[in-house]
Amino acid sequence: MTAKSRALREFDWGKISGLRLRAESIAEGIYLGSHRSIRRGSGVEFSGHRNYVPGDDLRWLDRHALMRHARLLIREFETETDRVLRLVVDATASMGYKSDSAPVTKLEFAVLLAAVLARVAIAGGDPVALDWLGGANCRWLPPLTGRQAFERVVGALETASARGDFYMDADGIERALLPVLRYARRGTSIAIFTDLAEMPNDLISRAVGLCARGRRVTVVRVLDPAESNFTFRGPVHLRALEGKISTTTDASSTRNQYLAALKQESEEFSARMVQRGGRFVTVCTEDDPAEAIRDIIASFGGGSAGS
Amino acid sequence: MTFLTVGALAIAILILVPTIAHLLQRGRQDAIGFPLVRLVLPTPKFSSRRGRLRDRFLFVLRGTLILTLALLGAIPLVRCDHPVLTRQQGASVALAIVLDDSGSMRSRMPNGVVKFDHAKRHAAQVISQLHEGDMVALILAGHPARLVSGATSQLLLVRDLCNKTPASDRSTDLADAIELADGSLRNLPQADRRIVLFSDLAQAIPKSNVPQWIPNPELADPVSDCGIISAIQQGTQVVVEVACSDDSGKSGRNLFLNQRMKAATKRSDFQPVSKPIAGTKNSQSITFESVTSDAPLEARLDGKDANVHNDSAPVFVGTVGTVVATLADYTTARAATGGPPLVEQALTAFGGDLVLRPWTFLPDDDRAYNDVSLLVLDDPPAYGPEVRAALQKWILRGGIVFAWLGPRAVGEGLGTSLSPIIEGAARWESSPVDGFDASSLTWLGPAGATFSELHAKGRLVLDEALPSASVVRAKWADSRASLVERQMGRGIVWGAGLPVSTDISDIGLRPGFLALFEHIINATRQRGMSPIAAVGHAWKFDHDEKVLVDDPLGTSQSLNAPQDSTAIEKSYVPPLAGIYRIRRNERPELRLAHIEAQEITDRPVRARAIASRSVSAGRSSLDLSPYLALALAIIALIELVVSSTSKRRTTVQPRIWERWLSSRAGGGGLSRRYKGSN
Repeated sequence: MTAKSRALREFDWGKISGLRLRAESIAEGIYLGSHRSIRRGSGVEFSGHRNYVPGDDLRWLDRHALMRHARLLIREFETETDRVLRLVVDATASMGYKSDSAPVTKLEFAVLLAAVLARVAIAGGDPVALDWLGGANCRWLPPLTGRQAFERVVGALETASARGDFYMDADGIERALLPVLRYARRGTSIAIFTDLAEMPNDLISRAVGLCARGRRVTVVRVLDPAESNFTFRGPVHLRALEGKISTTTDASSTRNQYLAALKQESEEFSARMVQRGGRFVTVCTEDDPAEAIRDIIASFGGGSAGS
Repeated sequence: MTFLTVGALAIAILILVPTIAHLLQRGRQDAIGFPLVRLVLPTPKFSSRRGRLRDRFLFVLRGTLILTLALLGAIPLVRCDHPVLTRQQGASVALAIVLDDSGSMRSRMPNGVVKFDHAKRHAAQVISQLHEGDMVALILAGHPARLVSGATSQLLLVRDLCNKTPASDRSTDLADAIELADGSLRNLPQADRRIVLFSDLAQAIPKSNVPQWIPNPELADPVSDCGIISAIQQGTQVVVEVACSDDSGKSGRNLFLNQRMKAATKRSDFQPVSKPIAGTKNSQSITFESVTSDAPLEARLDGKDANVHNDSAPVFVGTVGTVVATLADYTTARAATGGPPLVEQALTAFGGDLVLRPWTFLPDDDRAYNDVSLLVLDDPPAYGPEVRAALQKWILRGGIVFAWLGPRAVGEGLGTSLSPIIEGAARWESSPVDGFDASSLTWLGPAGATFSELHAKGRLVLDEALPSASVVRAKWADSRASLVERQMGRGIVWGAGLPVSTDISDIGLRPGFLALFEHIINATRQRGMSPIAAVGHAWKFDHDEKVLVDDPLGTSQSLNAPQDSTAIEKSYVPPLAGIYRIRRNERPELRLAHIEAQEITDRPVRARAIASRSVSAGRSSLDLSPYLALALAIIALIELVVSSTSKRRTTVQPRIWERWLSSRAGGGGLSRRYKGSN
């Protein structure tokens, strides 16, 4: 059993035992702005008028409009209300990959980012839901708010381990994203943490499909340093962690081709997401998590999550 | 360690070392897990593994080249499963195939193959390797040795005869077989002459003038066998002779006596009985007492051994052995120390299969002589015409009479005589000499000289009473006839001019007395009169008898008249052990042919050593070196052409690969990998 396969099977959660504090500390340093709700009614910011109907609160009757237009109009305001953040974490086998130079596995890094993002959202009063792609010991969570919500999200994130193979299970992606598509209401923010190792076109296509009905979708591609830089040297025999693909290559001579292909693929996926209002962010497990979170929050709309 | 062994080891090292070095250099690379393998372009193997061979076809060629070289080097060590005839002088050969069809060849070898079938198959293979100009003879080594085919160039005929040779229960007669083979090759023009011996070598191989070749020494590997020699019932007693080649009896084998299987449909209340056989080598007698059964019985050994054919035998009901009738005067012919007459004592000393039947008078019915093989008379009185007729009839059928003639021979009455023993008047006189002329008894061996001092008080002068065609076999010291032999039909009549009585001479006390009896008894056994004989020993019949023989397998055979018109008898040699039903002039009788104990107990010794001394030690080596050398040259030539072509190709290959790589990188090669993309 190689070190990598051991990492896949034995997820070392001890390394992120301080995830909660760390997430909070990261979240404290980020400005959290309010976001407007689509629900109309009493609030702090004027939204418009509508005709009076019996039963309306007379406090919101616009007397100036009555005197000017001789009509009973009710003033409406936009209320600062919550917006659901759905976290979708890819926990298939490839997410358990960790090269020798990497500090953590891709799943560990994705979980860390998801926890931080959840902390940020919950701190702003937004409900956070949790969904999984593959994985083992994964618990799906409905939209939750409050202090307890963060505890439950972190608890669910802690227990998951990388397992599963979308290459062998062609319907797995559709089956995993179907609840997201069904229950994500208009305006929901969706963050998908994945490495896009296997069946990337299927996953991107589904992510693009989620962009409808005002949902904001950000695909966060999590890469290992070995994947982002292709640090191998000389002749190597490489084997995919999902599926049965393997290849023999001279890493020194094919590095440039690999990096070019990776860049080309990322640009292609980014273009497809942007075209439908989504975003595509690439992070590396050796990156600073805070910087990565900033990039992700920025992808949701100008520097604040859910704004 | 021979040069061949060293050479073979050197070749093996030459092959193994580069192979191991290649395998060590080549190694085996572990696969590294990497999720984005789909984005990695494979590179040609020639660039990643320098040690790997560039061309698979070239690899096959070179592998074949090495393999052929190895085979070529191993040729001296390669032995074929079948014997290969090597022509030492390159010219035509003459072979005498000696095929042992004795009973021991019916044993199975450890691999389950019957020795005789194995020998036949290999003998046929040897014959198949003969060419035009070669000659072959076929001799069977079961007793008696037979020349099936003299040396002939009709190879197919001999091979066919070889294939059709049936198995038998005969004993081994290698000495005569080798002599026959030697003789069949004697005058042939071929310089390369050999005796090819397919035998289990149950006997020592006699020397021969031509070289011997033993292609199958494995036939002589000893096997474990226990067999029933004979099972004979006399009255209520059944005596079974069992022989074992080793101590297999210790394994707890039992001898059963039960109703014969073929007659099982006949109702019988006979309950099977059994006795354990002694766990010793050699033969043993096991007796079942109080056996009463109307149904035919058989003796059977339980358990398994190498030869299943001798594990059961039918019980023969009848007289055992050679019946010798005696007629002697108990008052004058007995020894001073008492006991039976000296004649009977001497015959008893021979034991074996002799059955003594003392008579007080000579029967006048010829049927009384039917089962008698030898009649010994001591100073018989003259007998009447009825006795004479019955006796003469029996002698003509093959009976043997030995008469010690004394004073009573001269006391002829009216109508009585000793014819056909002597004809006319004989005269008894005091012996003027002390004994026989020793020089006339050289045919009896050293014991004949003991007849030179007999202290004879009298003698019967036979010279005047000798019948026609009589042969004087011994003379008195004064040259008068003392022992005469006369051939009558198939029978023989011996007459000695001296009785056995110690009152007249010491002849009964001389060693020559027993030697003379041994000579007579052997002659009697060879007459084939006994209903019980060993397999391979002939039963003889009158030439004009109509004889029909049913062998144990149920095959009927009518004996034809002998081709030699002067022959007075014809014979039948039983090839298988068992009971034979014979009809002689429509008169039925049963005879028993039994196997000989030596066929089981004699074990081949030093068989492998004998085989190694033969002209072609063991099985011949297979000489494929010319063909392999030719194949080697052809393969080397092809390899040369292919390797030169391959070198030109490998100089072009990187440029092709580079073009392919560039087309992949720039021509949307990556996108083709994303199956299922929208």
